[in-house]
Amino acid sequence: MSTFDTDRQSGFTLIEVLISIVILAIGIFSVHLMQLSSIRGNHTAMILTNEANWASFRIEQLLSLPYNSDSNGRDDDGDLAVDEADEQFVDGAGTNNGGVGLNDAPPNTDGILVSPDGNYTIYWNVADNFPVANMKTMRVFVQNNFGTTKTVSFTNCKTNF
Amino acid sequence: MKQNERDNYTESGFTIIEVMIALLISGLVIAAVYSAFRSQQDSYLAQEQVVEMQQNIRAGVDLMAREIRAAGYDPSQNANAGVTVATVGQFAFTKDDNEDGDVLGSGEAITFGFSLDNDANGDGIVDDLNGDTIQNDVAPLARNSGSGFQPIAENIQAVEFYYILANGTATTAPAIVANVRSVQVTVLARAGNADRKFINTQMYTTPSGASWGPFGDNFRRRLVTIHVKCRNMGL
Repeated sequence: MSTFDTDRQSGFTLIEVLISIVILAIGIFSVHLMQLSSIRGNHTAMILTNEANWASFRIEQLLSLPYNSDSNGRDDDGDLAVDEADEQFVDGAGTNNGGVGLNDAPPNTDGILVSPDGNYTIYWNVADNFPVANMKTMRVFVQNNFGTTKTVSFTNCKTNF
Repeated sequence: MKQNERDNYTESGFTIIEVMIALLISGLVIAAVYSAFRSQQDSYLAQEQVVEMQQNIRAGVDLMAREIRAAGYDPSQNANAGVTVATVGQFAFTKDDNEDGDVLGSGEAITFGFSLDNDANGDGIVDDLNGDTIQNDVAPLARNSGSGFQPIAENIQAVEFYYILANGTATTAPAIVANVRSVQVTVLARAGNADRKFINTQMYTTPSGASWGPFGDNFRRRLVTIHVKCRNMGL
């Protein structure tokens, strides 16, 4: 019998300990990833809320313009000229007119704006006499510049009465 | 060496070296777990504030938008309903909800904004309530329907009402309040607690061109702007 009877000592080998540490580290790392995904979830929620806000902001702005604002536009920004794209409520600036042009994307849209903080791109299309005569349909899209592809789109109608 | 002395060495047990190595390794593991816990706790607390702020601002803005949209509702045309006060910090209006020809019913005369206690000069920015000479204090954004200001969103630092008039011009101080057609409401929410690892260097710009910040403090903030067309004004 030798002095140190290693065969009979029960215990962990270094390899076993290292493997268990690696497994524990993987577990901790995955908990960390859950935290990151929850932060990302909050961030996405904020982006979506803001996108929906900007879309309804634009819809309400378009609604408050006169029906034929191409000839009778309104000076929303107070610079005494009806020149900006956001002050016009016109079909025809983009590529396709009418109902088929409602889903046009930049640069073919009837109007485009960037939010003051630069984080959101708002663009919209207008269809004259769609779906019926004397009615305009507007569809507003909002994209973000944060790198997520989530886009919000709102559709609304305005009648000429 | 005698046989019985040798047998002592075969007894199982830990040497001091083994114990120290084990302590060292478990110490490293516990340190790693603790630092992971700390960082997650920090981010949990920060995210809790962010969620609270986003919920507050969304709920408050939504409530205001619904009621402002109905400002001036007056089917009998006898109630003389419309905008009554339009300043940068407060917006008051009446609407004949129960269609009885007056605006005296419950919830028919509404004011949005900060109460006078929180914003004495009426500029829409909460005054230095805690007296630390830094104007980054928060107060509840409130709704007054006759019985005093009731909170609709907590921890709001600033609000701006920007009015688009019948002739298309926009101002924060309309000369004739009956000319208001649309309102752009901007709300700046601030986290309830400071996060010492975060410094807010962002500038918040409102539709009227006013700038809030950069505050350079440790609070997170969120800015939301909505445009509300008062459906019943100017009919």
